[in-house]
Amino acid sequence: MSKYGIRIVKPGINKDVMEAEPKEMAVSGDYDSFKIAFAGKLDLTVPEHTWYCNASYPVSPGPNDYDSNNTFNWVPNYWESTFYHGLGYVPMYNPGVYWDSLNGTYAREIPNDDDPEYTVVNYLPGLYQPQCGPWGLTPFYIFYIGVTADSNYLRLRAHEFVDMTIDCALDANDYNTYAEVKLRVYYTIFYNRADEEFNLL
Amino acid sequence: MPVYGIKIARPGFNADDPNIAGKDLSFSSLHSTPKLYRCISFTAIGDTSHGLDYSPAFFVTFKTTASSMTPDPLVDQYICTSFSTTAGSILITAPLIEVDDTYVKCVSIGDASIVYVTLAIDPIDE
Repeated sequence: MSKYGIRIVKPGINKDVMEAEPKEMAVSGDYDSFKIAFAGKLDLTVPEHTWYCNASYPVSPGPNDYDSNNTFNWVPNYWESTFYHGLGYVPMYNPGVYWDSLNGTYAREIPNDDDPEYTVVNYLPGLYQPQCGPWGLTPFYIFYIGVTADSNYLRLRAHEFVDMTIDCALDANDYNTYAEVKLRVYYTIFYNRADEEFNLL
Repeated sequence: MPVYGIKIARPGFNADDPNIAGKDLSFSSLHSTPKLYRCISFTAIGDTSHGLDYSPAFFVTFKTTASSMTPDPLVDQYICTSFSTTAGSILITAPLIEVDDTYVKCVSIGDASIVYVTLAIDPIDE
């Protein structure tokens, strides 16, 4: 069977395409290239919510009760927004994110001219998250954001981590309310499979 | 010597427009395209010869293992990054991948059950 394809050398490379090195080519059909399957935006709203020391104070506590039996407490569920890509395999995508406010820079706010209502995850680590505190201060709070993928979905997830041990020891009726946060990620999903070995050399 | 190439405009744009911007082209041989030639996986610390005599550009995708957190927002998810590592999340320690002129190295596996390294035939330093 005959083999057909395309080779184009980079500008300034004065060689025949059949003699040029692979790295001297602008385009080569001998290798794979990135092919965009989807590009778009994914939004997630984390609603305002409150953690309480006391299950009976000040109102019916709901799902965010602080559990003093645990040193660290995660909310029972994380918040998630998904995009169904339906490729049936794990694609390469951008951006991959696993960020938390413990290690991020949370002292400034990134303006977003496109829609100021949203914090754009692509701009991390510039997320402003009030009430984050380093170890030893209270309430200890970590806000986690992840952009991950599996064989059918791209996922934007937010999760939080609270320790009110000292607060609650000082005031058994204390509580902490966290403001609504709107997150947005601009994503690109490629047709290229991320989870399979190959070798075209 | 005449110069030849290929230019294809995105739908709604005209490739014959001499002022067309690169972003409005779906393909242009005037701009280099990353040429992916190999994908190597690691499940532990180790190294593999990549077959070139220079350091190639690379992309990393890793599958996360379970953390000690409940619920776990990361378990069995894949994270795709162009970095060799971005370790430092409280939830996960990322693998550390390095390349040199001969090898792709998994220096640490972190909290990954498997790491895929997709290599481009394009040098990382050009």
